Amino acid sequence: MAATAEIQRNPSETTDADEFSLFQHFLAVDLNSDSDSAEPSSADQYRGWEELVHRKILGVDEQNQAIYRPSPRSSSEVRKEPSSTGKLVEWEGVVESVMSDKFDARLTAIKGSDVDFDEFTSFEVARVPQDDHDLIHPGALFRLVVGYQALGGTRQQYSRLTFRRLPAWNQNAIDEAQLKFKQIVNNIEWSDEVTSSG
Amino acid sequence: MQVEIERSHWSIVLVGSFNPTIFNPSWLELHDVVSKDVAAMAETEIVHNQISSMTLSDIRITVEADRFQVETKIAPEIRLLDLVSKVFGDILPHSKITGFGINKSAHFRTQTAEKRIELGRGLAPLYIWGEFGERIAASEGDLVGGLMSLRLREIKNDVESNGHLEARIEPSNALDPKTGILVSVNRHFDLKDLTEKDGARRAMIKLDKEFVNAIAESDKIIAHIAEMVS
Repeated sequence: MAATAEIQRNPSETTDADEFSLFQHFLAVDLNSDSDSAEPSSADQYRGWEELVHRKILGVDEQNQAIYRPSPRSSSEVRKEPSSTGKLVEWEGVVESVMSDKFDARLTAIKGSDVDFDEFTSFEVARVPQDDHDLIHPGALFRLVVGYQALGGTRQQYSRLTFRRLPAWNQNAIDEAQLKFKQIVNNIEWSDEVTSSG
Repeated sequence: MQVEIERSHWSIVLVGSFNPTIFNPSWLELHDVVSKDVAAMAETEIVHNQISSMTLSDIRITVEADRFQVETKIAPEIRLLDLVSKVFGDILPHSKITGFGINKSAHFRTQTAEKRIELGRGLAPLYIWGEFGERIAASEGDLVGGLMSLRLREIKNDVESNGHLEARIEPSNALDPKTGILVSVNRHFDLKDLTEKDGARRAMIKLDKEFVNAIAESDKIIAHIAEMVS
């Protein structure tokens, strides 16, 4: 069974932590370099380079018969990077209509809220990143998150409106949706049908 | 006092056959997976025939020959599903995907170091371990020992897949060495009876169907542990 769990490396284990720092160092110094000197110019150099790539980049340590994956971030990096806390409210929004500078939307709470009915509101188009403006059209889906994020040792309130870049509808999905719709319609018990049969 | 989740992390991991060299920010922008601005600001760590790794805004993508991983620490996590669905549903539907995992992890901390030790002792009672356990039970101060990692797995098979729900609990150095706790949950799926022509299609349908439930299951486990130390 192939594992798909996150591999979290413990920096207190020196092997992994060392490998991680070497991985970072090698990438920064050699692979991102534009200079030609990083390129191997002889067969020996090439073999050495290949071995280095295998060991430091791909994490294949043939000598110890071990494979090290590129590590997720270390603990200190985790502390420095922004991260959502548990305190957040998230809504799924559907664009209802679009005007020149704003759009109307229907919001349904997804998490962090006890509100179980849809809410209607307007957003300024300027609130959406410029590059996503072409995604704003009736029926488009977006997510609105209001919450706190941890950044270093502090936390700050944030609100984020993200338009979803969804895959195109394919024929299978359309067929499945139509089938579901037919099933729902067929399962409806019409009141006049019940009356007439009774 | 209610313990609050201080850091969150979500990821989707696909298992199959991938070509790492094709994954780069420009290619993702070309296919409308990310916006032009996000692609322009992307940090490409490496693009090699064995591995590609890049950070697009707050989403990190790592591709190896047998593994595709996409992760973020910022909500909304549904963006991970959208990205994977777009890449393997629209652009690379013929990629072979045999299984996938949906991961959520959270860091939080107990009010006191004693509270965390109490949780560890409850999850892994020391009396079972004989003399080794007795020595740990007698340790104190900076030398106090205890649970380092525990994984618990529930087997979850259905008509379409074999899989499991696995939770792991560990101390979290990311928050505090004495009070930090990391709970990480993996919902894994191995697709059954795949044929060559299935490509990525069945995996995408299953992922789409399971993503929200898997995250909800993970949140429930994390909330339960957080409640235990509140």
